[in-house]
Amino acid sequence: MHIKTTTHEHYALSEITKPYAATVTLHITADCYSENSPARTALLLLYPDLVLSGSGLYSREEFQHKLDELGSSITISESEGRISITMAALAEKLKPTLQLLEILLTKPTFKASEQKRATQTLKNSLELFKENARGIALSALRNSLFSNESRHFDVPPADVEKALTGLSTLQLKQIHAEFMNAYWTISVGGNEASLMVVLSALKKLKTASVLTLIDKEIVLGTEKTSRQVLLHEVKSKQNIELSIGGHMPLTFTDSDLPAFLFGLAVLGKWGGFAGRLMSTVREKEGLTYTIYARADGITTSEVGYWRILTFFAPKDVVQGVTSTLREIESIVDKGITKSEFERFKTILKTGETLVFDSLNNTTALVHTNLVYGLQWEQYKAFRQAFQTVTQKEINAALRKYLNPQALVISAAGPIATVQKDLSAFARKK
Amino acid sequence: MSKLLKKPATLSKHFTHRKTVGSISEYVLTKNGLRVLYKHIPGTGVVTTNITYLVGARDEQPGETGVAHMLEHMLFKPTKQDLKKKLDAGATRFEREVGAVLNANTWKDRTTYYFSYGVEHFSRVVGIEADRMREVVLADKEFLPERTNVLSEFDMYNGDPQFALSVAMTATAFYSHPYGHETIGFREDIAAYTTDKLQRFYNHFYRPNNAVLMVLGDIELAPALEEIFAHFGEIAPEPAVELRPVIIEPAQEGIRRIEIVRPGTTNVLAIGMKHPGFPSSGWYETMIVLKLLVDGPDSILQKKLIDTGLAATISVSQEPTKDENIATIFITLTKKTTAEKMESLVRKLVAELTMDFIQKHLKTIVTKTVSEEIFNRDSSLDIAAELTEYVAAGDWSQYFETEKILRSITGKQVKQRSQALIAPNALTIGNYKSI
Repeated sequence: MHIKTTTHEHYALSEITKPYAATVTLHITADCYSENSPARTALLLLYPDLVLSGSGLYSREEFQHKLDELGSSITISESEGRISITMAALAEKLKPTLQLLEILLTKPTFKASEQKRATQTLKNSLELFKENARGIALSALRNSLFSNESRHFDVPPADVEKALTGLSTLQLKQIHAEFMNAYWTISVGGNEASLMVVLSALKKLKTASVLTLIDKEIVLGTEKTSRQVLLHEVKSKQNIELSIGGHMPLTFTDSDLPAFLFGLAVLGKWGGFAGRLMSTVREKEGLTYTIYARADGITTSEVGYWRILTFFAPKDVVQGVTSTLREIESIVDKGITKSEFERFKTILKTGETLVFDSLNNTTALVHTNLVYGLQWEQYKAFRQAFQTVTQKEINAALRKYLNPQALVISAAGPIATVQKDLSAFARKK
Repeated sequence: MSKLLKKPATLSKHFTHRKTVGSISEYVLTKNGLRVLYKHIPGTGVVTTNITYLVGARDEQPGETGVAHMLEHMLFKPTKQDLKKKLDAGATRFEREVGAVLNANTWKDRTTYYFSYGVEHFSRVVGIEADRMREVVLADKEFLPERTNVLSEFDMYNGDPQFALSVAMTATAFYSHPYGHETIGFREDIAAYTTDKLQRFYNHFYRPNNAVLMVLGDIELAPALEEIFAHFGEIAPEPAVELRPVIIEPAQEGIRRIEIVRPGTTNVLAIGMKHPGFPSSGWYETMIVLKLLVDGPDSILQKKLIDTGLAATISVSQEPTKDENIATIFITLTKKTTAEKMESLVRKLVAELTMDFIQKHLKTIVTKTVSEEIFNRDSSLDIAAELTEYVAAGDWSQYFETEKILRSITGKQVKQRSQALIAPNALTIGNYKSI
C-alpha cells in the first residue's frame, strides 16, 4: 500500500494506492462549523438527510435505486460541524457512481416535502435521545468543559427540536453552498487506475474554495478547580453510564501531547485488556465489563478533552468510581512504570501496523488525520514520538494534565438510590 | 465462483489435505482431528488466527444457559503453565506485551477466539491457543470476579429494549430447540454458575476434533502447519464430542406473544419470524424480504412508517445460525400510533408485497449484497469473521457460494418466503411498553 498526502488550492488530498484493489473508497470532509446555535445545529443535523433526498431529475427513492443498481453507496454525516461524504464502489462501477455523486452535489433539489419528512424523522430521533444514557452522560461532560462557543458543546436536544420549526429551505441551500465552497479534505483508497478516475472527476467538481469558516483561534475549555458531579436519571436502564474526564489544553502541535496520550493509553487503552483500568477495575475487582480512556476533539488548531467511558451496576457504582479515581490518582502520583513504558511502546507500534491489513481502515485513518490537520508524514512523525518520548516526560504530562481533584464525573442511568453517594464524590479527596 | 485445486505440494506429513476451494485450503491434523483452514495473503506482514469451537448456546442445558459464553471469558484466565510460572493468562499477557487485536465471541452454534498480529508472533499465538484448549484453571479466584463482569455485560445489554425483547421472544418462539435462549443466558443462571459446571463443559467440548483453526495472512503454508503440529499435536481428541443431538422444534400453531413493561418513554414493537438456517437459499430469501421491507428510502416500512412519522426507528436482526431461527423487525413507535395498530399495518404491508415491487428491487438487492460482500472481505480479520459463520453452519466452502445462491433466487421465491414469514405459525410478537 502506498500513501501520499498533498495540499492544493481548494483541497487537501490523500491517495492510498493498493495494486489490484477491487474496491474504491472516497471520503470528502468540509468543516462547516461557524457557531453553536440551536438553529445552526438543527440545520446541520437535517442537511445530510436532505442532500440525499432528491438530485437532478431523481427523487430520493430513484437516486438510491440507481446507487443500488451499481452496488455502490454514498453516505453523508455530520459531526461537530464537519460534514463528510463517503462513497464506496467496486472499481468496475466507479465511473457511473462518480456521475451520481456529481449529480448529488451539483443538483440537490431540497424539496419542501422532503424537508417536512426529514424534520419529522429528526424530531423522533431527538425524542429517543432521552433514554440514551451513554450519550447523555457524555454530552453533560462536554458541556461542563466547553462553552457554547466551542464545537465540543452539544446543544440540548430540546433546543434543537424547538429550532426545527423555523427553518427554511433557503437556509439548507446555504449550508450546501457552504459545503461546496469550503476547503475540502479528500481521501481516496483504491488501485492506481481508480484513483486517477476519482481525481479527474473531483478536479472538475471542486473548482472553488471561497469560504473559510474555521475560526483559527483556539476555543479553550473551562479548566476545573474542583471535582464536579453531574447526575441524570434514566429510569429504564439497568446500569449507570459514566463519562469521567477533563479539559485538555493541547493540540497536535504541542510537544506534550504524545507524552500525555501515551500515559492515557497506559491508564485505559481503548479496546482490549491492556490498560490499567481493565486490569484492575474489571479483571481484579469484577466491577464492570468495559472501562477505557481516550482523548477526543484535538486537531492541529483545536484543543479537546480526555475521558473515561465505563458503566457500573447501581450497587457497584460507588466502589466503581472509587476504584477509577484510585487508578487515576495512582498514575498521577507514581507515574507509569518502566515495564509499562517499554510494553506500551510496542503496543502502540503494533496497533499502527495492523491497520494496514485493510485498505478501507487505512483510508479512513489517513483521512481522519488529514481532517485534523496532519499530513501523512506529520502523522507518522507524531506516531514516532511514542517511540522517542521518555518515561519522565510521560509522567510529567500526566501530572500536568490529569488532575484527579479537578475532573468531572458525569453519570446517567437509574441513579435515584445512589444519588447522594455519587454527589459526595464532589467533596471527597 | 469456487474452484477445486490440486493438493498443494508443501504439506506436512502430520496433516491430511481435505480440500481446496477458491483461495482457501483445509487440512486435518491426522492424530487428533484438528481442522486447519489456510489462506495466504502475502505482503501485509499481518496474520489472523481464529479458532472456532463447534459449541455454543445451543449446547447448554436448562439452568446452565450462557455457560458457553462464560467459559469464553475464562479462556482469558491463566492455565496450569501460567500459574506455575506465576504469569498472567497467555492471551492477555500477549496483548499487554505486543498490542495485538484479540478477542472472542460466542454465538448459538460456536465459540470463536481470534488474534490479528505481526507475522513474527505466529508461533507464540498458536502456542497460546493450544495451551488454553485444555489447560485453563477454572478456580473461584479468577471465576467469581469474571462472573460479576458477565452479569455487568448482561445488564449492559438488558438496558436495551431490543435485547430484552429478544430474550423473551426466543424463549417463546422455541419450545424444544435450544435456540430458545440468548447466548449470554438468563441472569439467574449466570448468577448460579459454578466452576464445576464450567469444567464439565470445558472437558467435553474444548477438544481438537471439535475445533477449526483458521490461519489467514502473510505466512507460508509449510512453516504454519509445522508450528500448529508442534503445539497441538499431542492434545487428545474426545470421541463423543461430534454427537450433537438433532432436536426438531415442534410445529408452531398460531401466533405467540410476549410483553415487557418497564419505566421509561420508549415503546417498541418486535415482529419475530421463523426462517430457515444459514446459508440455505431460504436464509437468503429471508434476508431479501427484510431488505425490501427495511433497507433504504425505497423500502416499504421506511416509506410507510418512518416517512409518515408513525415510527422513530426500524431495524432488523437476522442471525446466521445453522438451524431455523427467528428474524426480528424492531419498530420504535411514536405517539401517533399503538402497538396493535402497528402490528396490523406491518402484517398487511408484508401480505401485500407485489411481484412488481419484488421484481423491481430483487436484482439491485442482490447486486448490492454481492458488492457489500467484497467490501466485507477487506482484511484478514474481516475474512476470518465471515468464514467463522460458514464453519459454524457446517460447510466453510459455502463462503464461495454466496453470489451463486443469491443470483439463483427468483421473485416468486421471495414472494413465497414473505408470506411464509408472516404466517401465524411463524410469528412471535413482542411488545415493549414504557410506563
